[in-house]
Amino acid sequence: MDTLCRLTYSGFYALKLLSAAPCRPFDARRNGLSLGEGAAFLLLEPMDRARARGARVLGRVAGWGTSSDAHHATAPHPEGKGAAAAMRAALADAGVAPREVDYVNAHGTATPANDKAEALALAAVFEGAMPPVSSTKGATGHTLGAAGAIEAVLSVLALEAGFAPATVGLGEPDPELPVRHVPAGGLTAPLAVALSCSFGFGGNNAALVLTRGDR
Amino acid sequence: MRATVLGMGVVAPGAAGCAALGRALGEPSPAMPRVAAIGDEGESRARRAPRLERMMAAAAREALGGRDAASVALVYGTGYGGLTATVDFLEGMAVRGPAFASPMSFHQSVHNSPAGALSIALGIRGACLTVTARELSGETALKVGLDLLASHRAEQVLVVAADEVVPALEAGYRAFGSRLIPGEGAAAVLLGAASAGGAGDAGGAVGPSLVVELCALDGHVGSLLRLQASPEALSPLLDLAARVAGPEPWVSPAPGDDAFRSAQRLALERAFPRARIADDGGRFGFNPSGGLLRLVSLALRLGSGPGGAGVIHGAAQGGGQAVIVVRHVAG
Repeated sequence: MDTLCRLTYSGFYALKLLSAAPCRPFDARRNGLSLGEGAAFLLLEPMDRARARGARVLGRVAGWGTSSDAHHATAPHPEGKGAAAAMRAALADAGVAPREVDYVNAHGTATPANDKAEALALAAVFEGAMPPVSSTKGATGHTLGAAGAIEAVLSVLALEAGFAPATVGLGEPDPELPVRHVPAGGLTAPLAVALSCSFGFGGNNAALVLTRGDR
Repeated sequence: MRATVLGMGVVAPGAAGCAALGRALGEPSPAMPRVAAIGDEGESRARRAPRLERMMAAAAREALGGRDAASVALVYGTGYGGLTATVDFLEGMAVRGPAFASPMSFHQSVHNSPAGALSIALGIRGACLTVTARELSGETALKVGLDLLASHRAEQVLVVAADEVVPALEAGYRAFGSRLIPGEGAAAVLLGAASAGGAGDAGGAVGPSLVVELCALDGHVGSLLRLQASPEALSPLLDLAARVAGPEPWVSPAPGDDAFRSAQRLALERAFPRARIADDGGRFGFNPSGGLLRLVSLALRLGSGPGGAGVIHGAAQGGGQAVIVVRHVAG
């Protein structure tokens, strides 16, 4: 959960990370993030116990991974090495091969450095077989401490609905970013596995592998 | 989950380093629980780092004892994060206006920023997690570190807890009418699986083999600004610790107000009728990171003889409590 306030706004303004217009993740014209606020909660329970009590299982946290860039206080590793390490750790934890991932909910803040580093990390992890990728921060803004949970919820909803949302604000995909974008209007397809990525100040990286509840 | 303590480090009021703290334990507590020296004064990089990060780094380096930290997981516990940076940033906003606030102070004010800075300083590329849980932040960090070991996500975990006192924090305590004295300091423990060898070969003097045998947290819904003051509510967790620790352990009581201390005394007498009390409340103050500081302190008290057990009791405003049991075993 995080709320938008003057402190946060002024801090990101001072860091020159804010866009004056609504943010454009992965767009050639991207120039910073939009701040958002919100809250999300996920109720977690061991699968066998949930099934035993007849609960409707919305999704499954199949694996997670974390890493540190050990690079810079506010900028990501330029080649996304830490981000890639977190993604690989999550996939390994879930026992899921990269080719099995159907959708990636990217961190995608729309800052020039972050989107580039993340794109390089995705390219390194998926090696030419990249699943559709979108950033929901174009719709929600960067909700900071809440972003990881909100995007986990959005990923579960995408799996449940069989619908990957497009990146709001993406009009001219940056040709230098090797990303396979979810097409405008979204993508309707059977989705079984999603990867959700979140990165923070100080080079803290995390990735979640989420699957459908019936998987 | 049990884990071996491979190294310890500490920056405490009146003691920079485990050896200094070990000597200080035989002396009266400082008049105020404030850190006057960090022990890194000769390092050029330290001069530019915020005070909280300096305390963390000094404790972490002592715990690592020169080990390569690249594959170590880092768990950082803090109640308030970088308060100096937070105050600097807010003062900048107030004095110079929102458009001229300090970008440096802003990112240093974010709770996980000190952990990021430490990971950069030590070259840590494994997990880097920050947890906050009011006055149980040290204990919660330890629990997360133990969970990382138990789930085989790391072979070694560096657990660090650090908090600092600034005048604004003291004013905040006064504003709520609290008579508790906030404390500051940093502690670090390097954990390995319980079967890990080499205990005591890094950092502060650990002795033959110091093992964390229990770290348990519990919560009782209560008033947001009060500690649990019912012996009946405190007893179950203390009884659990007594079953693990056995007879005559050293016990480090949680600091707190008079009502809490009265209830705690009753619950401790029931659970540990023959305990040796190590009351470090005056030394460390009311500190969100205090649980880990008291763990280091108690480990030093246990000395080097095998078999000695120690119990650290923690309590937080809002009703939460924690127990840690450590023991020296034959190496």
